[in-house]
Amino acid sequence: MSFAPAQNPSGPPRRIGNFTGLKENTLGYLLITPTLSVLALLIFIPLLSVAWDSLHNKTFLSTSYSFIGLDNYRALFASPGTWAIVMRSLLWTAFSVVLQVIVGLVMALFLNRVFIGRAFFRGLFLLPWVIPVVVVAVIWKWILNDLYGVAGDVLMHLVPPWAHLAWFSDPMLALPTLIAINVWRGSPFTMVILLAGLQTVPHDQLEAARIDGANNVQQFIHVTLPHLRKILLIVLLVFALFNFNNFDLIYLTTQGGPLDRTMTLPVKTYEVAFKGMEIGASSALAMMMLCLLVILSFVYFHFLRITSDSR
Amino acid sequence: MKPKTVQQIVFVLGLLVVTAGVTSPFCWLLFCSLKPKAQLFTGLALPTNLTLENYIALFAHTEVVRFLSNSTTVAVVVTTVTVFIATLGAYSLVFFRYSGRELIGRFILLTYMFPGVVIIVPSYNIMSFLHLTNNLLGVMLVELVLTIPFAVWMLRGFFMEIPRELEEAAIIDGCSKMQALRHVLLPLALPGIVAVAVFAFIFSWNEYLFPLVLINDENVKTLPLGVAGFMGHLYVEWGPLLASAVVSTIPILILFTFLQRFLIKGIMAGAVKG
Repeated sequence: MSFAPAQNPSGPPRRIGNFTGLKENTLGYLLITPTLSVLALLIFIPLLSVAWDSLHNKTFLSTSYSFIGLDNYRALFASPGTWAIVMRSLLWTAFSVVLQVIVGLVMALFLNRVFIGRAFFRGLFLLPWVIPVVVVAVIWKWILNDLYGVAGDVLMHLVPPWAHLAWFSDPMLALPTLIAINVWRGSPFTMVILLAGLQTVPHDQLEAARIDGANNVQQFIHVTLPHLRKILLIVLLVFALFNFNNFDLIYLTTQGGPLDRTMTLPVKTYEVAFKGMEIGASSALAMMMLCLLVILSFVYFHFLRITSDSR
Repeated sequence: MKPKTVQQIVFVLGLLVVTAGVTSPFCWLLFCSLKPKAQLFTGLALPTNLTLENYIALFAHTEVVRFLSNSTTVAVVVTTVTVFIATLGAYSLVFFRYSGRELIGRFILLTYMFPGVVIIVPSYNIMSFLHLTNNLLGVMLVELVLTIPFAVWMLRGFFMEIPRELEEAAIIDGCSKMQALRHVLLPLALPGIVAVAVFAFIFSWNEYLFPLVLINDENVKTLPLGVAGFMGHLYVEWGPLLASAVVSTIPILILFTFLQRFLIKGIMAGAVKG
């Protein structure tokens, strides 16, 4: 992580900076204040409030509540449903991100060359990512409808037994269907980022590898991949977080159903608060989700440090 | 055939497959929204004619105009406020030397990926305390949480590309810090500011969770809430629903057509730097 150079490495310290030092710094603090106040007011204070609420038996139905210590957490950990939801969230995240990156990488390798209209296509491929998620939900609910969806018509010709599968309401199919939609939505975006990464791979190195007799796969593994490493790691982390935090897509298509088979932590947190009206329990879930995120990020960065040390 | 030609054919086929995979669901949505109501459910069979009757039904029988105007208001205000606050913030982070700058930068990066769902209850409580539930102002305020961290982070990337000497030269020439920002840095960072503005608009236009929590009055619903409402009816009116999905996409498409090169730059500044 590189921040702007703090001091000019060469030359004397700037006179101007010294002369107006105090005033200049005051202005600097002043300019960052709006940003920090928004974050403090709308993230930090709410976060403290969530932590506080998670220790109380608070509901939306009554104004009186009392301190119950860790009871909300105990109830959470005691319920087998919780672990199913945590596991499902992790599965959803892992499958989504791995497929988004692999599909995106394969597409990027295919399209990594100069051609007419490249900018146009690059923009086009970003569309699934930038349209409202509710539109994504409408599109796929319509296409995959088990009674009159066009997917059924197409499958009737290709794989007839699949023609009338209930993609969203079959307990076995719902999660894979949502992951597939998520990959459709995310992989063009990872592709565009990885394409930009591929442009940084030096041509002469690929050329040299080719002259030395490396085939395409060897060139990819020994030349391209090391150059892509940094950007791949960033994309993996950012998309893992995106997917883990995803609420809209799941809620707008299945609401966590059928039989909770697509219920993930964000959807559950919302449901417990605004359907179950239980603020305390929902806050405990939210805290747990946050802890999980922090732990996973730490593990990721730790792993990252180990692998980069060994290189 | 020469290997070069084979490669070219494979490439064109690949491009076709990817393009079809990405765009065909959109094309199908648009196509179906233009089908006559009676022929919506005929699958692949071609309709006898295309018509705007679904759009007419949408605008005549639903509140979609109100949803559109609500969404536009929210997105425009959120975008303006975000760009203003984030420009000052990013300027401060890159061109000043006070202590704690790095820490603040990291803190902002942390909030960048913050899951909104964690704070929905307090957000609702705060807005309800301020009497801002069922109020567009409440939605705008809360959505700043989504836009400001990434906007500051992205603009910071753009500012870092500007040589420090330019700002220093302006100050030696007698500009104040703020004048240097206005006359020297802003023109140079304009592509970044456009990118940030477009992203803020898109985020705000698309946002579903916070409006869902803060609004249940039909009159103040934003477009995604409205469309989700059409979808949630016991009997789904697919014609107007598909039309409403197309309508929700159009502003994004327009922004995209004209400004997509800025977006790519923005994505790279946000993703690669840091």
